[in-house]
Amino acid sequence: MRFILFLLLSLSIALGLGAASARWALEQSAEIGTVRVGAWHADPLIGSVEADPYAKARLARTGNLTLGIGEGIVFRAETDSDGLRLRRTCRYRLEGALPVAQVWSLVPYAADGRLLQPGEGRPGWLLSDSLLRDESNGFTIQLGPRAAPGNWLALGGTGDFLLALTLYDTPASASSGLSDLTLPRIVRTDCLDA
Amino acid sequence: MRRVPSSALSSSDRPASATRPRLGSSVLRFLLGLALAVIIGLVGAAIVHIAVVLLVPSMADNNAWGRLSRIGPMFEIVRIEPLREGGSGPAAQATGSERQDFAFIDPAFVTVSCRFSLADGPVRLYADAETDFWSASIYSREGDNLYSINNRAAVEGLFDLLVGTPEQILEARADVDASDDTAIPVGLPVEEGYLTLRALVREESARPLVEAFTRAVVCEPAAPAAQPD
Repeated sequence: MRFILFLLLSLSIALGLGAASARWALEQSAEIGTVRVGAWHADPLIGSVEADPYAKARLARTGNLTLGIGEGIVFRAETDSDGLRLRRTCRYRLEGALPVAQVWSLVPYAADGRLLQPGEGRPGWLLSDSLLRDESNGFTIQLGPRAAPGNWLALGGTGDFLLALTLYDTPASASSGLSDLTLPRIVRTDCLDA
Repeated sequence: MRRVPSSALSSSDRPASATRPRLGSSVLRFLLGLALAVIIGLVGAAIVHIAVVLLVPSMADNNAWGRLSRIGPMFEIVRIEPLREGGSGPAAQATGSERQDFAFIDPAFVTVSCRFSLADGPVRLYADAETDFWSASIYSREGDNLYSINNRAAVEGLFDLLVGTPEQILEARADVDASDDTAIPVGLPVEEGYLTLRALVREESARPLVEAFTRAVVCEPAAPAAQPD
């Protein structure tokens, strides 16, 4: 009788704790293997054969189409360079340099990976080709709900958002030396509701 | 040899513990058993944890392969639309919700995909059209990236791959056919996989041309060399 009770106890600890900790790890282990550059972070091994088991299991659950190792690399930012969450009602300025890439795109998404819908005729994403540069070959990108001159990316709705910077066909996609990259700083200018 | 002393030990042990039925020893035995059960449970939890994490990729039916298989059958080119927030604008409604099953799709690209099987021979993936910039990857069913290429690395910028198992690729090379000359042979260590092909839309005015390119993409079992067309 006592033996059966102990057996049930062992089994419930093993199954309950094992399953719960696996679930917890898959939801929380997003930090394993990521490379951070300022507010930006990337997971250079995601989708590759060499990815760690947690990353593979996580990918299997979300089912995203990853970018191949040779195709490029995606950097995401949920916060500005001061560590504050990106908000759609705020205006931001992106400035600085970008690694060499044949093409890059800058896209704001909702937290669940849906595209923001800023409205008809407003730019919902930005491509390297259409970027306006100043005399010294630098650039500034403005993000915000209201139209701005120069490189402007429209935000729509309310709440948080995240920025994805995807570099296509870039030497930076080699998993070594990623942390030496320079990526643009995300500076909050002001907020409309603050 | 060993049975005799062990049975002798237990038979001499049992009356000793039975003759001293103290409260403390039974509580101690209960606590020891409890501790043992908890320790076994914790070890089991570690095993279950590892097993779950390792099994998820092969069990998950909501991975990219599973989602793609809900969009279209094997060897069919399917278009991947980005998920959009609450449908506004005509583009959001154009293709139905099934086709918008993937998050974090780059809206600056037209993305197509197809699932293929190498069970009945090698598979030809090609496009009879050209575009400005494209980038392609091949994945195993579990989502491991096996091969990537873009138009700069391809011969004359043409998208033309012959995928197969290493044996199939060797065979295809042995009886090389003039019509298949341009295809880049890709040996894969798996039987099933999927392709993703992303074609850049540099500006909205170029979108029809890019869509013409993605419509020209073909994903089909390679024709046997004996049947030229």
